[in-house]
Amino acid sequence: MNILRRSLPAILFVVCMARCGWTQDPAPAAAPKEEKPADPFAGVQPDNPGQTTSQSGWVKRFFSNNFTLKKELYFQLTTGYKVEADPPLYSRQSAGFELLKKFSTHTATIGAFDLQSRLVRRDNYITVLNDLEGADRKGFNLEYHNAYLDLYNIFNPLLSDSSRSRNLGRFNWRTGRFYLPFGLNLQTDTHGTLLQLSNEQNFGFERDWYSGLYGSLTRSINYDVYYLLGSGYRPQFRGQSGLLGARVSLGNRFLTERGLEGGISVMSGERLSNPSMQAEFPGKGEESDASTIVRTFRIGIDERFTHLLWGGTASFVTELSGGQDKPDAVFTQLHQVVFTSRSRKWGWAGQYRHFWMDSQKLPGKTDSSLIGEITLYSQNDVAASKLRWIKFSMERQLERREGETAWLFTVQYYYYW
Amino acid sequence: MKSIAAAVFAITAVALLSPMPQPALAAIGCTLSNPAQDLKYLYPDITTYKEELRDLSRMKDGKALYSALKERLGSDLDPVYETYETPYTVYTIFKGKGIIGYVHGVNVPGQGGLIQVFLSSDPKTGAIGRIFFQRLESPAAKALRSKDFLDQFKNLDLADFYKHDYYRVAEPGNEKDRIERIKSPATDEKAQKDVEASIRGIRKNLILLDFFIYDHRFEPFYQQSRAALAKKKS
Repeated sequence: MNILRRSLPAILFVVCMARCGWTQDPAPAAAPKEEKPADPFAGVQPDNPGQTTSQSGWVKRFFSNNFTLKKELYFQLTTGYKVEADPPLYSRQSAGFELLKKFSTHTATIGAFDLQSRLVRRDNYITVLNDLEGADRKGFNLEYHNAYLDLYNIFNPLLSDSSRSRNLGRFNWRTGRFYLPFGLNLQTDTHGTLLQLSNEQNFGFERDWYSGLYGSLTRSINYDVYYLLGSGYRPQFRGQSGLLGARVSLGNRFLTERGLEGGISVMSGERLSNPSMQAEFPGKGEESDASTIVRTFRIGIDERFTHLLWGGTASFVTELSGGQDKPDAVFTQLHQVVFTSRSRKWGWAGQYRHFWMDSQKLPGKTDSSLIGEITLYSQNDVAASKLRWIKFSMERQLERREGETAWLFTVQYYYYW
Repeated sequence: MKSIAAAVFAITAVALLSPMPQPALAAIGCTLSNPAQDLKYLYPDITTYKEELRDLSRMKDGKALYSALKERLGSDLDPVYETYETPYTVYTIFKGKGIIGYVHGVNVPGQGGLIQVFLSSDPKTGAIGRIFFQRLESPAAKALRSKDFLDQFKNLDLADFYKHDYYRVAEPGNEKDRIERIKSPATDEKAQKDVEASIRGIRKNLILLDFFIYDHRFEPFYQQSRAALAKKKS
């Protein structure tokens, strides 16, 4: 009992100390608790508003859903040293439009229609590479450029869901007037610029009327197969059998992942010649029906490599093709560098082009040119949906199959919106 | 000669009326160059797809949406790459008659030029499925395309980005901040800037999808994030 009495103060002291938290090894529960802020997003849920459906009429829907109308102004002046025109100042002024309408069902986009037209005024024609078609068009002309209908996945109505999935993007149909399926033209927008690719010089036209299939064979390989009228601007039969054009090209993944485009193209059959483009054609600058049927064969290879360079983006283009306009052998080459600054406000480009033809009248003769241009952009859309620029270019003709070489100087203004 | 003089006058007039160095112009469209193949890559089960063009400048409340975009993005919109007139295309992906996803792309400026980032999203939750760059003018292109980097965005949604605005300031290191956990593949400062530009592009893409498709579903998270931050500051 004595022991208990003696121990009592000590026990009370220890209990008291313990209650005050003064122990050598304090229990965690006894530590002062830090207040954790409540999660401010606790209980916040996404809204679930009801779907609204459009009740507008079909006319309004037609012109508002997937309908694009673009306007275009294009002015060009070209002069040169030792050119035939008198006065030596070629003028081309135009105003135009482009409309694109896509058509859809409830579950699929099934087609698209594109039409591009311009009212053009030309005076004192000089042979310039971006307007070879204009050689026989004086004064005002209402012109069409693109006019085509695309139908996507045309076999879908006949296929099961699993077959549709397997063949998505494989069988698309195009009918109308568009770029030739040869070289990089199909993948390139050359609206307005002086730097045209090879086709117009190679075939006499860069666009033709055609029908056929295009699509993706695999994710890495695309194809185009068309029957072409071979008549160039106007759709007409004058006894020519037409052309069969085929192209196999790299899929878009190569552009996306490596900046690389390219392909192999073949064109074979009969086409009408463009008389104004024959070096020996006497009636340049005048309306003419002097077309002849040309049996044509071409095979070509092309590439474009786009890469970051010099604080902007540079692309390097090559197109090579060879074949015959029977019985004449033909060989073309084109090399081009295009630079666009990171600000997209200015750029420059250089091109070397070479067209060799071994004809009976002019054996082994060549047209070749070196072209340089500088562009100032005030609007410069990557997808070309809005463009406004002024361009200064110079062409030095190095060789002509016939006639004298010349220096050509051009100013172009282009507005597309 | 008279007509040439008229032409010269026309060119001069137009050139003078449209002075070249305008800083705040240009629009860049966001469409897939080969939609069928790209969509098939994102959705192997796809049977059909539907394209819908969306253009703020042609919408009734377009101006309000454009400024709402800027506000929700938390940074200025670039005058060349991100204009009011920029058209967008939304791809709706079908398997049979049912919608299995949406795909949408946007542009943002990067160190080398254009970064064009597309993503697929779940039609019910709005969460990210996959991401890919159609255009990537960047010195860090390889790192940005790496699977390890892109996979980190899977299943994130716009709410995660809005929550990040709050957590970043008020509770750094909070485990609920799923954006902060994203590991950057950048090895230098320039590459880091493009990583940040890409994340900004992904956020912008989700905001526009919320406007175009999800009918502002994630708006409560944005409002709550702002309210919580204001409360914290006061």
